[in-house]
Amino acid sequence: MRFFRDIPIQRKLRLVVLATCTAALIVACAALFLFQFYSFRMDFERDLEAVASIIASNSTAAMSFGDKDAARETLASLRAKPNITGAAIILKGGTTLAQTGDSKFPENHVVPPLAGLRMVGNDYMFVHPVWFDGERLGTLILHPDYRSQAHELFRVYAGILAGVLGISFLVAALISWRLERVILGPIRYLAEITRRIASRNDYSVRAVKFVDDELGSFTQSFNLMLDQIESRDQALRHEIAERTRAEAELQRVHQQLMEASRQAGMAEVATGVLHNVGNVLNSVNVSATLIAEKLGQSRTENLAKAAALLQGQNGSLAQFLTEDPKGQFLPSYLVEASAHVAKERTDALAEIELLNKNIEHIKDIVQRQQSYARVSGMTEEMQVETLIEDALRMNAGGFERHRVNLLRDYEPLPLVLVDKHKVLQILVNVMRNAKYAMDEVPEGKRVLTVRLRRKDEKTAEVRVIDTGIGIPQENITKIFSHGFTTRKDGHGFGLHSAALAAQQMRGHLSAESEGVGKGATFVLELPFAVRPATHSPTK
Amino acid sequence: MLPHHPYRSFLNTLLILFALCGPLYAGETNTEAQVIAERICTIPKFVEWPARRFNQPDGPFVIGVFGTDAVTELLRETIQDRRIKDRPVVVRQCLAKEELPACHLVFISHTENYQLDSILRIVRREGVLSIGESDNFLSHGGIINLINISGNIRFQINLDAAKRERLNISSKLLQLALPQNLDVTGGPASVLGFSH
Repeated sequence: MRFFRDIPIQRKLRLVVLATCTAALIVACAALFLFQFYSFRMDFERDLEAVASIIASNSTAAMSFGDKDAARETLASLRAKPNITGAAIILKGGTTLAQTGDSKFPENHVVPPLAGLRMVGNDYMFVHPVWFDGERLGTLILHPDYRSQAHELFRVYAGILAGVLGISFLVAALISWRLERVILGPIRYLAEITRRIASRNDYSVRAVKFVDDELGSFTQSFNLMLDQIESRDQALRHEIAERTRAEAELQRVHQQLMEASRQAGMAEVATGVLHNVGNVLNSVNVSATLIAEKLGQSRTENLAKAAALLQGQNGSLAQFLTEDPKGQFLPSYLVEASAHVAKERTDALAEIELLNKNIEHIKDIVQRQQSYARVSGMTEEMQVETLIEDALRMNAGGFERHRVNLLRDYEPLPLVLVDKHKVLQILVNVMRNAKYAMDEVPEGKRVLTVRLRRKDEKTAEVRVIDTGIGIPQENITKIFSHGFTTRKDGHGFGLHSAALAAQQMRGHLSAESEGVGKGATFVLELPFAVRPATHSPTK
Repeated sequence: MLPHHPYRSFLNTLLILFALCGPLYAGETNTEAQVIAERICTIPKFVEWPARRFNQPDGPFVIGVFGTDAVTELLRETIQDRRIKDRPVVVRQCLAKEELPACHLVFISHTENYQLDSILRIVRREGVLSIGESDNFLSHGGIINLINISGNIRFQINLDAAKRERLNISSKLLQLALPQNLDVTGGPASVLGFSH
């Protein structure tokens, strides 16, 4: 059946027509054939019956009187019937009165009990009981040549059947060939149209309706469908154009936002830097003031007075020193004064050293900011630890002011391939959020842990864990959305752009929190730099 | 009905022996009588009587036997319940000639061959089928003569006599009949001691 399904329609049609015709013809011929055989047999039997009756009636006397000669003579008349090859007259007792022809009947053979055309062995016999005047005289048996006649008939009819079938086959093939065009034409036309439409994606093509049968209505529906497709296609195109435009717009705005956020980020960083610098400057100021104070308080005036006092003695210095009470006091005063001066010097030096350090620090901060500002959007291989430390340093002032305790937990890791600027932005942002989150928590309990771990062989993971107010479950994903903020003066695109920035570096930013009051963890995933040389796994 | 084959040939031998014994056994043997009786039963099937001979629908078919003969008893035995012309059969041993015209069929035993003339005259034009067993039976006006040819009981038919009696004899019977002027004298029949 599989085979039949997939062959072309033309062949299918032909097969159907021919199969139907052949089947019908075979049935008809078979019926005729059978009928013919049946009637042949009937006629044959009737003929035999007639002959037997005649012979029997002519034999009654011979049989009644047991006259063999007369019986033989009567049977001899069967020569006129060449299809009866043998005959025998058998008397009631079973003896054969007369026998003729090729009959292979043994003497006193068994007579079949039933009259008519009977099969004995593989041959036919016609049994005709002979009655006369109410008495059974015996049996007449005819041996007809049924077989060869039947075969002859069979051959003739088989020939006729074959001939008829052959001719009908041809006729059917001819007619179907002619008619199939009527059916196939429209189908082929439709197939062609659809193929054309599909190959060229041209939905403006329409099929012409040729016929008014099911194909006709199919054509109509088909055309309607094409109308729909065409209009929808156009609508789609239109929409796609719109969408593309909207997307371009979106992209542009996004860029702007990114820029703005970067600016904001940078502003944050700058603010941070300024804060830090400000803080440091405070120290510088304090140091400078202290030094000024210290040196201001310096006993140098008194030393000058003492020196003047010594000078004023004019040659009686020794006497002054040993006899004058002021003079006797002067050495111990000088010792004291020198000790003070020495201490002042040490203090001042110390302060100056601190001053230097702070100035260095400022330089450092400014340099760092410069280096970050100079290069942005470039990915390079970095040590994560360095980045984390930089970010912490940028927030250092804020941490101090908000009394945040820091904990570091770093695992040595290979280099990551990131945009330095972006990472810093993200970390600073996250750390700042953490700092603000812990404002509600009592001072001793404000702990910021930064954990650096290997997530898998391709990713490093920075966890910024705070003990702040936490994030409620319903906000966990919302915090990364554009414009979301829980802070009064927040602008809401810090985390969103941070997440985007992370994505841009092929990393990922996510948040975890067990709920309100249970702190929060921000997880930044960064990709390792892939090196062609073997990558030694660090422990 | 017919005896078994070997038994039959034995009887045939006996028959010949008896026959060879000559005049000591004047008359038919039992077997021959049997066949004659058969013949007498069968022959009427091929003969048609004029309607006047059968008055009642179920009236019997009367077979009369004239002369002493073993045939009578055998006839009765053979006939038994059989019917002739779809009528019950009555077999009469006729002692007087006058009884004969009442019969449909009359068998005249060879013992009465000396008075054939007078017998046949009585049944003349009475529509009686006369069957006899003598050479001149037919010439005396009898209709069917039984004759033994080589052990076979054949018959001769006098068609004119039959016509005279308005008896219609079937051509089938006529076919089987021997010619009327068959010369049997000196033939095998005489050896068997048949003719007088």
